[in-house]
Amino acid sequence: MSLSKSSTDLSLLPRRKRRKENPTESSEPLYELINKLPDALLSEIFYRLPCRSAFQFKSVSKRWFSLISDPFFVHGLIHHRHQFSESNSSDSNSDPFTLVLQNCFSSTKNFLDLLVFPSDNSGDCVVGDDFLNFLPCIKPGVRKDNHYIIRASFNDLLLLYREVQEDFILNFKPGFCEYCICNPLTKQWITLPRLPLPFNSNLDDVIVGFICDPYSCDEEQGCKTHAHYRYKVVRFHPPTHPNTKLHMQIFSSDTGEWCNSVVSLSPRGLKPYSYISKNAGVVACNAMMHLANYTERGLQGIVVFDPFNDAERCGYIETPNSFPHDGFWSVSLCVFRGHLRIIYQGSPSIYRYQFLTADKFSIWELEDYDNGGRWCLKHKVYIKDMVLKYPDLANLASLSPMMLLPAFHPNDDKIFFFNFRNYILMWDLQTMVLKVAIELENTKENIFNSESLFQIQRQRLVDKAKSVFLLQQQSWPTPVPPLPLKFE
Amino acid sequence: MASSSTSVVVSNKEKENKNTKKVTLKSSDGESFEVDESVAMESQTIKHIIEDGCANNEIPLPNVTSGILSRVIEYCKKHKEAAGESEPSVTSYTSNSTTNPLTEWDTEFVKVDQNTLFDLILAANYLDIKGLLDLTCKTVADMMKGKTPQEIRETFHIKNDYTPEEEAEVRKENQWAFE
Repeated sequence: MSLSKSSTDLSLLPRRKRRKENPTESSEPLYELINKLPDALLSEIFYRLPCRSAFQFKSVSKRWFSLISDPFFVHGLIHHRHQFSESNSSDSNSDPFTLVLQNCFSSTKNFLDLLVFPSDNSGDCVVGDDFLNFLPCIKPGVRKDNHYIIRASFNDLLLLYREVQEDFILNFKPGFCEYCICNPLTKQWITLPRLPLPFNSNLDDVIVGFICDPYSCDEEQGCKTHAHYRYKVVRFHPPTHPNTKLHMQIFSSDTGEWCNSVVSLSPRGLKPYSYISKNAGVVACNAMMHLANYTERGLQGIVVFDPFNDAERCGYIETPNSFPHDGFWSVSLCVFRGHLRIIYQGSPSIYRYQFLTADKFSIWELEDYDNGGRWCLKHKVYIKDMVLKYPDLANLASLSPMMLLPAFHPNDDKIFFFNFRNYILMWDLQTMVLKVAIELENTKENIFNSESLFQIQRQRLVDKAKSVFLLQQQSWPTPVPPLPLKFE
Repeated sequence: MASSSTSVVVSNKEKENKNTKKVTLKSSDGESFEVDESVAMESQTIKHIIEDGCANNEIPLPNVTSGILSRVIEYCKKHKEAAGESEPSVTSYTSNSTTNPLTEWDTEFVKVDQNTLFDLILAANYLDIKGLLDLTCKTVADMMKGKTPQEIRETFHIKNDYTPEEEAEVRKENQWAFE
């Protein structure tokens, strides 16, 4: 019980004189005890906070600000979350996500029409007028020309696009098109340099992909930091005959500029008279872009483009003949947990533009990507089995298509989203239960008129790929870095 | 009051092993604590000292006071007992309450004043005891959750070194977090 006299550092003497609960009795101020912790330990505490709190606490004091803003801290936090999630792998519903549905269906609407569906309050969705209102040019009522629409997403970032037509009338201003990258959570955004809008350009012909490559990825731990990363936006122009080359425009975050590029396709080129399917969409998987190569007879293969490592050529992945070819199938590409998936949605009608009452869908996944790849059938579902418990729905489903949206619930393989009439449905296919149904406000019109229904379905085919986007919230929100400075 | 010295000595009578090795740990204020070697090895730092053969007489721990050291020993003992005879490195790292039966005990253990809590964090770091570090850091993080920056300053008595303009600027940049 003796206090050794050899101890010279008085601050290590135990303070036993008073209890903290009675601060008025103390003669020494209870002053910033927490600041005696070194940065590394203070960081350890912050790692265990939700990131929203961590951002708020930047305003507590300058020391906390510099600590939390340090990229090294972000790296450590992501690493910590990654370790923790691995040991709690049963808690797979931990990552919140947001499903953003863009209404491209109605031609009378001339503003960005979004439905935002967050995963945390199941079923509570928000009509997205305010979702992107931090961006300029997102204002209802402004002319269609100047509005952004969402073209792609990657993790928690969105890529938006707008066109401004040429102005002949006042003073001649050439038309241009512009892309914008934003993080809807942190409300950061940047616009990329404008591209000239060629005369008679058709927005619909260009397929756009957006892909990020995290730099400082810890190979051992396999976690991605996103604290520093580079990204590319690639515009694919429709291939011209003889289908051996692909024209594209690439924006690179390294240079801050667009450049034109012509890339040769793998030796055989695309199959003759085939095209890159815009309907199927372009997906980023394994840091490469994938597009669907299509003919009248269906999906032929997947074109692969690696803008970071091998921007001279495109690769090709075969799709086996065992894919369905009878009836009519629409194809979507999708990614689930880092694996490439193809969704086939089929109907018995062989006529393309008839009322597609899709009666089944199947989902194939590419496994073993690095070793040549092998396609596995993951799901095969008949719509009639799904609606067994819901007789009213069954009747309606025979008249209107129930279109599977190419976005999976990131944590649960068995949950699917469908667009049915003017509803978005969320099905749990393990239990065949309809979990959530959200009514879309703006598509109520045109549903009951059969001619309009035809038009809507046609549009749905065309626009399906660019109508749904999955935003996955990261351990730390991805920053939107400014473009590199240019010195002229 | 070194109430800890009484609790350490009785442990070897409860153990089944006949020859439980003991080590003596010496706090910064000169107090000595005799503990089972296996309990002491919950600390990776002490484990390395022992394995390197440097633990002849006492292991001095100049960064840990007797008050804190006694608590740390209490923690290590409790967790070692709960884990049985298994390897010290796998005991009680998880803070998942459904699998860890010591959760209640741990919760009581960290009901201490701020000063002690931070000293425990420093000690757990210095002695490299993962479970204790995790527990103490998590406790502080839980104290912080849901509080506004002003409440944080009040709870932890932190001086606001921002000017009102600077603070407004920081808030504005991170506005989304406050909504």
